[in-house]
Amino acid sequence: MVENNNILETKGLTIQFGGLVAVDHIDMQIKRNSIMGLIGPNGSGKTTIFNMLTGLYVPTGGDFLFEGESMAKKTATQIARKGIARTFQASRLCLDLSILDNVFIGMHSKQNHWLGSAVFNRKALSAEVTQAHEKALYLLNTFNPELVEKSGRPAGSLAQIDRRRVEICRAMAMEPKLLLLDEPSAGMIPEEIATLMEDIQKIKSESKDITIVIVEHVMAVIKMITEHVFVINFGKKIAEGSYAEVSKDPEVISAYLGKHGAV
Amino acid sequence: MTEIGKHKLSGPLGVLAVLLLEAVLFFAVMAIFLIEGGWVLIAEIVVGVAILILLNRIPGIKTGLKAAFTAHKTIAIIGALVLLLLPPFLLVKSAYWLFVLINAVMFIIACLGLNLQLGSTGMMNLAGAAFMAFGAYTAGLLSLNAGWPSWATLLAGMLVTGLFSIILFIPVLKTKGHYLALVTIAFQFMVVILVENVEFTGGPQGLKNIPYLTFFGYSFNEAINLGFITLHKYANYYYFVLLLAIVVALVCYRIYRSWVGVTVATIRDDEVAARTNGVRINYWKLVIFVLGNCFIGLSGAFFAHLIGFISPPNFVFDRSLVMVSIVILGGMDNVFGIILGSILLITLPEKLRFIQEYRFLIYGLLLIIMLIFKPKGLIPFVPRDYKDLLTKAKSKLTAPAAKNAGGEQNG
Repeated sequence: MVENNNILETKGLTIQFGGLVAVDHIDMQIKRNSIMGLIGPNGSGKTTIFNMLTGLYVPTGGDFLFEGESMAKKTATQIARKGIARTFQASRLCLDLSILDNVFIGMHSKQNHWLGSAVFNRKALSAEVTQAHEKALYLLNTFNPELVEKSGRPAGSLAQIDRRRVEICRAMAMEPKLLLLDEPSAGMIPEEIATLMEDIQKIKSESKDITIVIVEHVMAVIKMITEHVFVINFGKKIAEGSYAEVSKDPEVISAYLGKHGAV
Repeated sequence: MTEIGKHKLSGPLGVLAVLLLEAVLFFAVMAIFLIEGGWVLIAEIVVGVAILILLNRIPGIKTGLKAAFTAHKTIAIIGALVLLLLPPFLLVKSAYWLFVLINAVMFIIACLGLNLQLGSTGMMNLAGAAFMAFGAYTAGLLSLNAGWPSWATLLAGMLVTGLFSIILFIPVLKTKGHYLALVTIAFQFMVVILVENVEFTGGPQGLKNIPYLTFFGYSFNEAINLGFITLHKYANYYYFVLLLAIVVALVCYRIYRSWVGVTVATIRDDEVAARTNGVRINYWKLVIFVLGNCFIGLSGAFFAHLIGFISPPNFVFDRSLVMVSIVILGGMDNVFGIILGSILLITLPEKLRFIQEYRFLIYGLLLIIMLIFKPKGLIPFVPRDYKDLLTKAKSKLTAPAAKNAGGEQNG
């Protein structure tokens, strides 16, 4: 019953680096088809949680269930193939490769890359490439039509906001069920943040079955698009609820919002 | 300007442009072998490299020629093949330089293998010569002791090298970057010491009298008499190694143009990004490492039959360094760069013999100059831009069918 409602559940998720407990017994329920926020001051462990959820770090304690299946012991590759995609705070595109190649890698698990067919079966490959190309252009066109013309250029030639968009396209190319956005507004000016919010809405409208968890420092973004927020401080969950609720929570205000002096 | 170039060069003028470019490239390379005076040669290379760099700077010429090559693909291929048949005729008076050319083509095969590892996937392999030794000794021992036919020894040399590279595989998986470089250097030295001290490899004396290549009764040890001209016996080896190199280059180019190329390039540039996109990093590293070493082993096996005598000094660390320099200077992850790099770096030291001891000084100097002005290699990596698909795919974007495509992908 729970599994039907929650796409992801963490149960006492913990990671310890030497003596430091970076994430301490976090319990979260992520509702299917929702947009959830994950907030907290710098260094509170948000990205570390994402790194565990995508298998880059192995939790030292606890577990997390994705669609009811225990994932804590799985590798990053296996988790990605189950349908969890992510973007990174400092975008991790391959800057020397073309924008298209960067999007294509998102489709990796669906591609036929047996060496024999790469070398001998050119027809099947070129049909597959044509199809992938159309899909990639469709995604790029959704987020910024200008990217279609630029699609052959190296990703390194793009401005920050477009790099983030290409990263979102790469994640979307995976057709994920759960998308983790790690501080998508990092390094953006206010106008760009406004378009970023539109982009996130587009992700929702593009896919019928997608759940988004977003780590963000810009409260306007969280306020606008999330329905439920988890607040983390020093690796512990200190509050959860709608943005309106948590922003009134005295502990949250003292830990985080209070520092900025405003709600 | 680009557009004009494109239209003009896809017509009959394009045929001329294609053939002319091929001929110029070919004779520029052949001039390295034909020119006698050393300083003239250095001047030629400097001018050639300068022209190459200049051509790269003018976008109109590049796209125009590219369009011409796509429009006249068959003619371009036939033209190139005809030109490639010529060297034994041009070098009919100097068997030595034909031999050097064969050596260079042999290194193309090995370095294309190394390029798969180092250039495409970012795995440093400083044990290239050691893997060449596996191929050479396998071919040598099998033909000497077991009397295997040439095709079988070449195949075995290739496969045994691939098999032995699995030994090195656990350290290859566990280490990265500089540490991987150190591991492969250690392996390189271990192999040479082993070959020197084990009895069945002939120790420091090596293997003598390895039979020349013979394919189904056709012996490579005889000169080719065409009536009007008699080609040296090396011509056999040249055409054969050329055939091997074309096949290997084709395989490598197709890998570069496939999903495999995209996948390993992502591993090279960002392993974390690759993993979070579901790439099985270890699997791909294994495949590429073994495949690359297979090609290196093949070239080693050919080497054994070409020389007829192999010993440990043929496979020392210096050779590995030469191979790595070819990949870095020619152009990482670019098949054409590797081809050019092999020819230049194998031929130059021979050509520079006229300055005797100073030749490695000049050679080193040339390398440094090239690295300063072309840090990404003579013919650098070209991002796959899929330009040929763009127009058609764009028209689909605006057509109503685009909505369906979107629906499918979300479903």
